[in-house]
Amino acid sequence: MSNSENLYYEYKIKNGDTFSGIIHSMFGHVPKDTRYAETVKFLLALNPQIKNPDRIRAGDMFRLGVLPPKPQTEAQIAKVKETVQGDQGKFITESVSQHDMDNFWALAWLEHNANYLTIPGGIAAGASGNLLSPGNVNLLNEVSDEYAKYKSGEITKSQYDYRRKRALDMFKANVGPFEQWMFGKNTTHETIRIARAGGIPATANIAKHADRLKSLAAVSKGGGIALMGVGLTSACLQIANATDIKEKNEIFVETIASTTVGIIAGSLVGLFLISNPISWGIAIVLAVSSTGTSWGLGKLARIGYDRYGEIDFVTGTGTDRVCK
Amino acid sequence: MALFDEVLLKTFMILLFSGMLGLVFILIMHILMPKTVLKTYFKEPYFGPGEIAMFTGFPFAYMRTAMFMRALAFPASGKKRRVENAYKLAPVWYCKVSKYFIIIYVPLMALLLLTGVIGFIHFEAWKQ
Repeated sequence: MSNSENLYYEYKIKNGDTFSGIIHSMFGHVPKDTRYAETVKFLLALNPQIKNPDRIRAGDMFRLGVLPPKPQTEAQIAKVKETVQGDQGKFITESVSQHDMDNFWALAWLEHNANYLTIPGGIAAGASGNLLSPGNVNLLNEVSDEYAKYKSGEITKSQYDYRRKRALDMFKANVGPFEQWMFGKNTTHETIRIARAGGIPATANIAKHADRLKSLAAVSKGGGIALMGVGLTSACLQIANATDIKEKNEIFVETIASTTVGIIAGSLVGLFLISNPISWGIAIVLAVSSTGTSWGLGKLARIGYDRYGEIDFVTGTGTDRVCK
Repeated sequence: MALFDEVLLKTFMILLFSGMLGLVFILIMHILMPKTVLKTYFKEPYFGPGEIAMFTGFPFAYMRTAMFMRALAFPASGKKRRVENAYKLAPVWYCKVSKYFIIIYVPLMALLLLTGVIGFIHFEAWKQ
């Protein structure tokens, strides 16, 4: 997808940042570390505009890159410097609006924090799984690919800016008003600063994002199974506590009906999902609707059995022997 | 009014039962789903990593089956995910059966939902 040797990201220096402080927060190196001196040379090669590392200013742009696993030679560091100068030393984000920068950082936050998203109950089991549509993940990959194309000279800067803005706008539209709820009181810019303190370039971040989405989906799936178990256990307890056989059957019918309706709702959502990547809002609406519908129709089935039911399901299926 | 109550409830129960049969049918189609279709299309970039994890195995794999049944029955429905050619990897009978099933199942379940909502309100089921 990209040449990682040429890939770096840009960071706006904040009040209170120091050169050594940035190295520590981004790379985890302190002056006594064996690779500290190499890191200093590497960053200075990436940032020829910095003449004195002790005199960086808030508001200035700063390039950060991935330090290769093996220590670099002077020739390799010189090559990094050549690459940067080949780009005419220009920063991409200098001409980008704060709004766009926030959008891009929001993406990095999302990938970094996706596994910490918490939504209670059955909504979480439905919504978080539905959110992980290929549309949203592809948008993140698209931004990363366009960045790599720009760095390799395949597209111009204005083309990159346009395509990135388009992808980010689409992503933000998908995420919708829940974005603010997700990010809490922190501005996206601040949270992204925290999220990106690991010193990883955008492309690796997005690859890691895919793994995190996968584990979040696995958690969602587990949540769904757990909730199903809780529901059935609860019904079993109610059946055990009911004294009247008719009441036991009503509870049984209500449980089976609501579970069935829930599964039917899932199949209909499946038919919908094949042609429609969906956003947070729709995901939560679908999950809440499914939950509410299965509860409501379970109640209705109970009324139906109460009026017209004659079959003793509980005895016939042996449920009364299990739930006692 | 009693006649209306009886017709409504019995219609609801019949539709619910047909929904159960529909789920059994989906289970059968899940077992019979052509492996080549899944191997070719149930992966990135057609599906996100989260979806792949979510819809593999119990209990949500049947949703994947429903998705593919629609994509095989109505290829245009898979255009956004770029799976519109998946039907070429499935037997013709599978695609046709999926098509007729969806044509019958979806309206029936819509009717189930409709009778359910009407019945829920009419009988004030939330008081149960």
